[in-house]
Amino acid sequence: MFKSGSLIFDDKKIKDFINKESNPFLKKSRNNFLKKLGEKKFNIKEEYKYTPLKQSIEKNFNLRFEIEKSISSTTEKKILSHIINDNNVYQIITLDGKIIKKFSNIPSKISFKNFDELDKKEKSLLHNHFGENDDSDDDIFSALNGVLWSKGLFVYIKKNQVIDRPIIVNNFYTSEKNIFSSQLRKFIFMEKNSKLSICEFDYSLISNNFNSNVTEIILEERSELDYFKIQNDSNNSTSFNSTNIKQKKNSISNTFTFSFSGDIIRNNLNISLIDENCYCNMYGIYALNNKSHVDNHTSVDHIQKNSISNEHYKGIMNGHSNGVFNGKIFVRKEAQKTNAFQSNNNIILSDDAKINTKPQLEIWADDVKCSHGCTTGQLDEKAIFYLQSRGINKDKAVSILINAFFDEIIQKINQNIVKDKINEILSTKIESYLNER
Amino acid sequence: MSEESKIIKEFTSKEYEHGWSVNFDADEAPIGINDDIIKFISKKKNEPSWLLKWRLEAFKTFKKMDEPNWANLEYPKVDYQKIKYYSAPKQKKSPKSLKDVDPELIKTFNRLGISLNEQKKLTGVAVDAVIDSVSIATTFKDKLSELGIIFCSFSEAVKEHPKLVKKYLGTVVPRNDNYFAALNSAVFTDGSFCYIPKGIRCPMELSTYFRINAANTGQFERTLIIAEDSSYVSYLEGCTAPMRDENQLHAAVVEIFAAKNAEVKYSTVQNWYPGDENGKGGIYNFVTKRGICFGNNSKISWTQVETGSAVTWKYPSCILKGDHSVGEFYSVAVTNNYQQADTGSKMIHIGKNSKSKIISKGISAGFSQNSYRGQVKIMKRAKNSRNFSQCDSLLLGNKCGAHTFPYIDVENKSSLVEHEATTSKIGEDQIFYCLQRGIDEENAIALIVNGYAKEVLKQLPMEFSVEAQKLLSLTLEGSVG
Repeated sequence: MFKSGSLIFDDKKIKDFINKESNPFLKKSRNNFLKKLGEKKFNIKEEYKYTPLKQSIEKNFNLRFEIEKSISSTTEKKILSHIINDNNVYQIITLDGKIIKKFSNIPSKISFKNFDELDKKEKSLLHNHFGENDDSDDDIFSALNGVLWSKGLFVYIKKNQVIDRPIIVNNFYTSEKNIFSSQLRKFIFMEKNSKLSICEFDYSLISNNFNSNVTEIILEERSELDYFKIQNDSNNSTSFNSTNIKQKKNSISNTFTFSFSGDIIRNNLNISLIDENCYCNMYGIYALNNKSHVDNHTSVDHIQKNSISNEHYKGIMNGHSNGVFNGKIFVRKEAQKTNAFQSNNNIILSDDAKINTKPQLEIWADDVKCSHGCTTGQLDEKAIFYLQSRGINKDKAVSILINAFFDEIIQKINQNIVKDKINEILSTKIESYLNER
Repeated sequence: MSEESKIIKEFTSKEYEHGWSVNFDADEAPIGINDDIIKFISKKKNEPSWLLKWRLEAFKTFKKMDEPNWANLEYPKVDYQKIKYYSAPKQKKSPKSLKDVDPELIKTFNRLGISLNEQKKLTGVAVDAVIDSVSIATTFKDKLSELGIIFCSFSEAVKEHPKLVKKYLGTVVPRNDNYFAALNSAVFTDGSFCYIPKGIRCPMELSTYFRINAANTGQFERTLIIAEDSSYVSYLEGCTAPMRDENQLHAAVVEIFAAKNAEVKYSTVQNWYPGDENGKGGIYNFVTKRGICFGNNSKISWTQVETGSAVTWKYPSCILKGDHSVGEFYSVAVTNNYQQADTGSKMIHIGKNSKSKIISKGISAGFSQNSYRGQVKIMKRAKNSRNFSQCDSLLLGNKCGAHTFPYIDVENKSSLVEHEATTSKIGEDQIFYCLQRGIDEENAIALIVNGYAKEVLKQLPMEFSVEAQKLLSLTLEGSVG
């Protein structure tokens, strides 16, 4: 047994698991993460100030490492019900990280594989960059994921390759409560001048699932990535996500994080702009009710000059839900002429809902324009009255106002299929808000 | 050397104005802290036994606590056993009136520009002057007592008004509140005590002036302000210290209690010795300031101009317990050379319809680090509460840093909280505009910085406002590239 923070692990089980790893590089990498887990003093108190760890995870992890070999028909049915029937998208289905080929349609020109299927070139790419760009130094769950990830997803977009359709990734998790096997590790590498749109949905097939999903993304010069993450899991899952993006010269990233449902969701989004003229947009929507707890921790690190970052998160809390937003902006000494903006707006609909926000700026360069703004309030009674006085009933008025609140962000979605999906989820959400009134 | 760097050099070599010290005969405690030292202090001050017991309890808690390390500050660990916890200028006997005060002490304060001579005083400001560990003199006492206002040194209050002290001491900042508050509770030596009775509007500004004189001494003063129903008081605090190579510790506690409809305005111009241009020496300023708006419609307003200290750790806060109570915080924090400041405010909304406002302006130059750290917490029962926070930072040069750590926690649906922050530098176009109109660069910067900080400075009482503006221009002269 060993301890890290407030978590206790059975190290024999973990070591057995690591020893099963056939790839010597990955075995070494897992051991490195294990070392980190044992040695690092993670600042759980501050980083998880508002997210109750003890409630979500039993102190002692009951580890299960086997992945279902065959898919039962009920599982299959459930999976099929979530698949998007649209020929204008490429679709990938994973079950605890393993790509299910019979449900996926992805052309061979796109390198989208599990780690154990890589060819020689892909392997060397993975080995050169894997594990260098995540937040495992600061976050205990990222380090844990580094040791225990069950399946790896590898995405490689070649030089000048422009992917014409969005790739929809549906991740299904099957593991039971406190069984820590739904651990996904993703690695996305985009070469010069490439372009990709990727949209990820997470579903747990069993209630009270605990899953984690750590992604490393490297954007080479002039590449462009749209990354959507949609969390609308009705099965009370606890989910830890960490997306880490490293951007080189003139690259663009647009990330969207949508959280609608789940027991406890933690989203880390770390972007480091290591070169000049990078541009990143971070958008987020969280619309919660019941006892959902969503914790968005974002950080953008301006390391070199002339980069722009723009962040906008909006949320509505109803029922007993709790929203957490922590946005960090770092502007290093060399990063002159940086423009960094951050904004977080919240609406609380019920007296039992809560919001904790901490917009944080740390700036060491002087010739910069940085600002952040943060508001918490409620729907404008006057606006509701105005609409009512024009013959619109109260429910309709409320739904107009909520839609208007989120519209600013929804407008930024450049993939119609995602936009439609979000609007669809949002309208059911608004309906549930109206019913709870 | 370019004009610019010349100005910078000139500025950074500018010496601290109040850096001299005077040799008085002093009565001192041996170095270190233990139960005996606390008993020594208590005995020196002829304190009642309950207070000694209170101190010892605090020391017990202090020993169990760890120094906080969450602040964005870096400084060598303080050895609490190497500090003198008591130092008092020797006076022949305790002064009955101002005439009996040692002329050397009066001279010291005159040199600081603080007149203890009542007759010559132009403005109506009552002063309580504290050197090292003891209060030297309090002016205008008689005039104030006619109205029932008690304004005296803390030790005098313990003797003359023990009931009041016992009732309120530690109610706003408990002994176990934090590390430095516990230390202060154990070894506090003097400070000011102020009591405004029901319905009285204090006719003059009350002021305390703190001066550290002796070497290796820590200053641990404690201020307690009690404003009864419907009363009003405006309170000022100023401080300086001699230039010394070693760091000195200042750990004060200020408690404010505001009853129904009462209003307390607390202004500070903090100008402790900030250390030299290489970051050597300077005061460690670890201060706990908190006020409670206990009654309905009460109001507490903090205004601070922070220009001194090597390290500042200070979060003046308001607990808004009463319905319709109001808390305000206005701050200008300037750091230069190797100064570090981690300062801000806490607003805890408990009462319904309570309102708070935070305006914080940080200015960093040289190699300094300037952080705003604040919390706005709206409790569930604080219906219809309102907060507005604004914290702006101005960076002069690219070797300094500006940081913002606001915590915002809202737990009900009817409250409205807004927070905004910006970071920028002085615009070249702004300076150009001034130059074009015949204002030289230095004055242009002073003009722009004063304009930037005006929202806060205008909150200060007149006398302080002038001093603060002078201090600002002086501290930042020529530090823009």
